[in-house]
Amino acid sequence: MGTVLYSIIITPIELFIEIVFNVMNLAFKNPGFAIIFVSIAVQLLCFPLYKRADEIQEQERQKQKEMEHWLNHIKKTFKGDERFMMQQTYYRSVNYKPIYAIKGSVSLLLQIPFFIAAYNFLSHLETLKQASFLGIADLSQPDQLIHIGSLTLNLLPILMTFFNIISGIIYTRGFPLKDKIQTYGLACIFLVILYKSPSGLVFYWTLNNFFSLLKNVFMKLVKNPKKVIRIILLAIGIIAPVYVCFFSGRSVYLKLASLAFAFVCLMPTVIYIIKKHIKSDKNALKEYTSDDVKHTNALFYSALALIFVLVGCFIPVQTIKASPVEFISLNYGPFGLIFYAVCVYIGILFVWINIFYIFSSTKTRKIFAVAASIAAIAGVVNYMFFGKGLGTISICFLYDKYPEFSMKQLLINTLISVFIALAVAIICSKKSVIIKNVNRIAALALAVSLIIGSVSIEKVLADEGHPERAAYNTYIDKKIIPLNKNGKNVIVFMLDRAISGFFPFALNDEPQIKEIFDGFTYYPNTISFGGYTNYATPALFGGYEYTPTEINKRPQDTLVSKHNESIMVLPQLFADNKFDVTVVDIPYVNYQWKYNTSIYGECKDINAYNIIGHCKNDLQEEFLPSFEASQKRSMVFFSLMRSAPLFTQNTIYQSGSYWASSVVKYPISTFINSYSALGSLTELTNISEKDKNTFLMIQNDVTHYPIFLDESDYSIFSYSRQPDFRVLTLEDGSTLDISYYYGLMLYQTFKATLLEFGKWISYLKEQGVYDNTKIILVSDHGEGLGQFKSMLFESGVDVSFYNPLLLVKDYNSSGFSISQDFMTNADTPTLAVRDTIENPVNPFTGKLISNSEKYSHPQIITTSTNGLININNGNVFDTSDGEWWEVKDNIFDEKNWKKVEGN
Amino acid sequence: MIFVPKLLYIDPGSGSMLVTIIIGIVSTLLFAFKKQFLKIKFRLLGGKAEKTNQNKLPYVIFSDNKRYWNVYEPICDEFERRETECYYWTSSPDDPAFNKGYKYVTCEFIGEGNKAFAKLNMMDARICFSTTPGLDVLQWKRSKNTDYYVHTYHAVDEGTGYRMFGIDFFDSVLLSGDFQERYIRILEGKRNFPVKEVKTVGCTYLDAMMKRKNEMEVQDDSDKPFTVLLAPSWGDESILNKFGERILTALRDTGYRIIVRPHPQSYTSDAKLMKELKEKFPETEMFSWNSDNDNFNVLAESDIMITDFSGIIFDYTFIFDRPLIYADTSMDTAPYDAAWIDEPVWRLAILPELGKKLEESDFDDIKSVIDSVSDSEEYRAGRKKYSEMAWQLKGEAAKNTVDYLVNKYNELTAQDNKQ
Repeated sequence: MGTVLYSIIITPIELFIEIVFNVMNLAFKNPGFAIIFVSIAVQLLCFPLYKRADEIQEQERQKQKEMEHWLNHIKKTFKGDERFMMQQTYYRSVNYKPIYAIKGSVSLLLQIPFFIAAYNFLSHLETLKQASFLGIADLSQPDQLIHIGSLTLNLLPILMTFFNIISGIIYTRGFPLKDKIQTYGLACIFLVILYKSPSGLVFYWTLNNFFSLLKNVFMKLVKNPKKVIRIILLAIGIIAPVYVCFFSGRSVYLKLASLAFAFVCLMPTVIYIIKKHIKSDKNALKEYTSDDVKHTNALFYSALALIFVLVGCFIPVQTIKASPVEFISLNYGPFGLIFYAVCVYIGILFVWINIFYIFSSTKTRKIFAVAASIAAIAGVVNYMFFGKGLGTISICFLYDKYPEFSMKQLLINTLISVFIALAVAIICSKKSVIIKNVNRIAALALAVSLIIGSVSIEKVLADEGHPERAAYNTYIDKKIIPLNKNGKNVIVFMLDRAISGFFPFALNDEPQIKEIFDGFTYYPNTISFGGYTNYATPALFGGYEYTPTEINKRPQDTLVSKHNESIMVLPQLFADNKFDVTVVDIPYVNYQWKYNTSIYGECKDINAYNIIGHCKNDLQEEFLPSFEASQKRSMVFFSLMRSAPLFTQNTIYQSGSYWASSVVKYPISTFINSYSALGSLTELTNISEKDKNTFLMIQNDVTHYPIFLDESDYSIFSYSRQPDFRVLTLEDGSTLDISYYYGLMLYQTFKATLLEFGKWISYLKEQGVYDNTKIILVSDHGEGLGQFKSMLFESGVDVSFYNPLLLVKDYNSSGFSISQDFMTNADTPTLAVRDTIENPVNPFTGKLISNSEKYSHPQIITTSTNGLININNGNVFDTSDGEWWEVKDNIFDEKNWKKVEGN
Repeated sequence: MIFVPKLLYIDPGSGSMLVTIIIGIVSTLLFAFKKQFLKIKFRLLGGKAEKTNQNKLPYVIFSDNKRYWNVYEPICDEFERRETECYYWTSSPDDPAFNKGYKYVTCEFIGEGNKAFAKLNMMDARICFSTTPGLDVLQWKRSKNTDYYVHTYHAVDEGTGYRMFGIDFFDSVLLSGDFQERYIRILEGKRNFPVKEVKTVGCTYLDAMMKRKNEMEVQDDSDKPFTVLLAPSWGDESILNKFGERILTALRDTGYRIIVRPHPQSYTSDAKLMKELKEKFPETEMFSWNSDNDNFNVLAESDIMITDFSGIIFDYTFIFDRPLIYADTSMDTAPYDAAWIDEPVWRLAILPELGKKLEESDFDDIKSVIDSVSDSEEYRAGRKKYSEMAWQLKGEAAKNTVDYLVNKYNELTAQDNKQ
C-alpha cells in the first residue's frame, strides 16, 4: 500500500525533479547549477498553487472574521450537542462549509510530496558524489565552509536559517505572536535537523528558502509584484541566452536549454502584451457559464482518461504481451510491472495534472482540456501508426539499435501532429462534445483491446504454469553433470545468440581464449536456418531433418511436437546407445518460455535439469533492486515515448536512459541467472573413473541477455560510468562496430561468456577428462545489428544474423585451428555422433543422421522475425513476414545468396 | 522498495501555515466525524422508525407536548368539521386529542424525544404543520418525503423568543398579526435563508379562550370583591424569591381579595420558600393560593394581575382586557432569535403601554398603585392598540389556518401532477 501511494503521489514529482536535474546537469555539466534549476522549476511549478492557496486563505480569513461574532456568540450561549448544531446551522446560513478551511490548505499540503520527492532524490544521488560547487568540495557531504581555529562550521544550514528568519519576519507581519513563535521555532528545528545533511540537499533547501523569501518580499512588500516579476524575467530572458550563446561557448545542449529558458522568461511579457492588445480591441471579457465549466470538465477528463488508458495501460500491455515471461522479475510478474505504470500515470494524470487543473481558472481549464485532447488523440495516432519497425526492445525497454527515423517519416508525423492539433482545437472551439466523444470512444476501444491483451498475457503465464508465482530460487545442490575419465564424453553446448563474428575480435582482445580453445576448430563460415531460436534450434539439435523447410514439409504435425522431437533426437539416440545422458536448459521445451524438463521426464535414461536461475550467487541481491527500479521507470517513459511525436522520441529515449540519473540498461537479473549457471558448471560436474560413455546436451543463454561489463575483469559495470564505445579493426581490415549500447553489451558479454566457459574447460583439462571429450560449442543464430560492415549485403541481408558460432573439439585433438569449410549448425548432430555411435539413426524417423543434405543442395534459410512461440505455433512456421534465401559455400559472398521467389 | 523519507523539510513561509492547516484538517475531520456520530446516535436511540412509504399523508400536525393542544384543538376541530382527513402526531401519550373521538383526525402517539424525531425525519406527508420550532436545526430534520412544513406561533408576541434559527427551515409561517412578518424578514435577511411564505391567520388558542370567556360572561359580579391576582414566575429572580414576604404582606394589607398563583415549577424549584410562605400566609376568605391546572377561571376572576411571567401577560390583557402590574421581566436574549434583532424585544418594549412596572418603593403604598393602574385610560388604550396589532382576524384563526393548509395542499398536488 505504501509503495502504491508512493508511486502515485511522489514518483511523478520525483521523475519531474530528476528530469530537470539531469537535463540541466547535462547542459551545465555541473550538479550545483542543476540544483539551482531544480529549485527554480519546483518554485515555478508550485507558484500557481501558492498563489491560489494565498487567495483561498485570505478568503477564509475574511470569512472567519465575518463569522467570528456569531460563532463566539454561539460558543458562549450554547453547550454540547446544541452548540454543535447551532454552529452547523450558522455555517449553513453563511453558506460556509468547514471543508473550505481545508481547501486553502490543500495546495500547501501538496508541497509535502515535493519535499519528500526532492529529499529522496537529492539525498541518494550518485552524481553529487565528489561534485564540487562554489567552494563546496563535495555536494554529497556537509559543506564545512567556515573555519574558526580548529572549529569547522557548515555555512549553508546557517544561511538557510538566516533566509528562513527574514522570510518569517516578512511573512508573519501583522500576525499574532503565536504564529511568529511557530515560524522561528520551525526555522531553528530545521537548522538542527539539516545541519549535517549533504550540502547538495541543504543547498537545494537554502535556495528554496531564498526563493520563498523573494516571493514573500514580492507578495507582501512590493505594490505591483506582477509587473516587477515581468520586468526581471524579461531582463533575464534577454541577458541569459546572449551570455550563453556568445560568451560561454559551451555545449549545444546548454545553448538549447538557455534558449528554452529565455523563452519561458519572455512568455509573461508576451502574454501581457497580447492581453493588453486584445483588451484594447474591446473584446469583452467572456463570462463563463456553469455549462461551459461542465463541458470543459467533461472534455478534460475524457482526454485524461484516453491518455491514461493509452500510456498507463495499453502501451505497457501491448509491449509486455510480446514476451510476458521475460518480464518476470524477483519481486513482480508482468502484471506487477504494468500495475506500476498504472500507478504512476494515475499519479501524473489524475493526481498532479488534475490538481493543477482544479486550481486553474475556467479559461486556463479550457486550454488544459484542449491540450489534453490534442495530446490524447495525437498520442493514439503516434503509437498506432508511427515508430514501428525499430527492431525489438529488451526487457529494459531498450531498442536493439538506436531508433532512427527517416526525414520522410518525421515530416509526415509532424504534419499529422500539427493537423491533429489544429483540427482538435478548431472542433473544440465549435463543438467540444465531438472531441469528448472521440476521446471516450477511443479510450473504450483501447480498454477493450487492452483487456484482450491482458487475457493473452494471462494465458501465456497460465500455459507456463505461472512461473511468476513460483518460488524463485530453489538451488541445485548436487553434481548433475557426469563426465567419465575412462569412457567417451560428448558435449553439445548451445549458446543462445552467440555471434560468430565476435570470435576473431575476442581472440584479438583476449589472447588467452586461444589457449582455452586448445583442440578446437573455429568455423566462421557457418549458417543457421533462421535468425530466431524457434527456427534455428530444431536443426541444431535434430539435424537436417528439422530445418524450417523440412519442418514445414510435415504439416500434419504441430510445430511443438516437431520441436520436441528434434530436441529429443540426440538424447534418445545416445541413451539407446547406453550413454549416460544429461540434458540441461534446453530452450522451448514443449514450446514454453520457461525452462522445463517436461518431455524428458518420460524417459528414465535421460536426466534432465534446469540450472539457469537455480545456481547460488551473490550478484542477484546486489543488483536486482536497481534493475527492477530501472525497468519500472523505463517502462513509464517508454510508454510516453511511443505516444509522443516522432521528432521528440529520441529526446525522450535519450539513448535508452530516459533521462534517468542511473539506469540499468540490460536485463541484469536474467544475465546474472544465466551467467552464474555458466560459472557453476565446475561445481556441478561430477568426474568419475567409470568407463561408461556420457552425453551432455546443454544450453546457456547469457549471450542472449547481455549487459555492460568492465572489460578489465568482466565484473558488472557501474551504471554511472560511461562505457567504452568504439569501433574495433582487425589486421585483415574487418571491423566491429561497438559504438552503441546494445552492440557493445553483446560483445562484452560474448567475451565474458567464453572466459567463463574457459574456466570449466580448464577444470576438465585439470581433471583429465578433456582428451576423451568431444565438445561442440554452437549457437542457434547470430544477431543482425549491422556491426560488421563486411556482412551487410546490398540486398539488406545482414549475414551476422544467420552466422552462428561454431567451435568443435574432437577427441584427442590439440592446437587451435580455423576452418573455412561451409558449415551449418544442423551439422551438430552429425559432428556429435561421428566416431562415437555406429550407424546413428534418428530414433523417430529411422533415417541416418548425416550432413549429406549440406552437399546436395543450397541451404534454405528464412529471414522471418516471427520468433514468438506463443504466436508462431501452428503446424507450419508462419514466415510470411520474411524471405527465403538459398545459401551455399562462402556465406560471406553475396553471390552465394539467392532469394527463393514465390514462397 | 519503499522509500520512507527520513525527514520532512518544510519551507518556513508555509511552516506556520502548515501547523494551522494540520489543526484545521484535524478539526474538520472531527467535525465531520461528529456529524456522522450524531446522525448514528439519533438513529440508534430513535429505534427503528418504520418506513412510511405508504400513501403520502395529506396533513400531519405534530405536537411535541400536550400543552400545545390549545393551539391545535381548534384546527383539529375544523378538519373534523370539514370531514377532511388529517393526522395528529403527538409526543404526549396522554394528549387530550385522544379523548376527542375524531372521525377524520387520526391521532397517534409517536413516542418521545429521539424516537419521535426518528419517525418525523422519515415522515411521508404532503404538509407538516407544527408549532414546534427548531426544524432542521436540532434533532428534528426535514424529511425528504415531506413536501412542505408550516409553522404557527403559539404566542402573539413578535416571535423571536425561539432558540436560535427556530423557524428558518419552515416553508411558511402562519402569523397572528402582520407585524410579525417584519421580524421574520429581518432574520431572513441577516441569515441569507430563503424567503418564507407568511400568512396572517389569527390566533387559535386566543380565539378559543375568547369564546370560552364569552360563554361564561353572563353572570353578574357586582358584589364580587376587587380581586388582585399575583402570578409570579419561579427561580431566583422571581417576585416571590426577591420580595416574598414583603409583597405578600403589602398585598394582604390592601384589603383587596388576593389570589396567589405561583408558577407550577415553583413547587419543585423553590419548594422550601413555598412551604414557608404558605405557612405564614394561610388561606383566608380574602387570601388564597391557587394551583388549578387550568388558569382560565382564576384569570377571569381577577381584576388586576401582578406578574413577572411574560407568557401569561397577553392572554390576560387581550382576553380579559384588564390592567397589569409587571415586575422586572428582563430577558437574556442570547440563546434566542431575539439576539439577532438590533432593537428592544417587542414583547418587553410594549409593556409600559400595557401596565405599570412594579418598583420596590411602591410596596408601602401598593393599594394606591393598584387603584391608579385600574383606572388608567392610557393602559386601556395600550391594550386595545396591541390587541389589534398582535391578534388580528379574531375568531377566524382555525378557519383561516385550515383554509391555508387546504389551499397549499391543492397547490402542491397540482404541481406534482404537472410534473
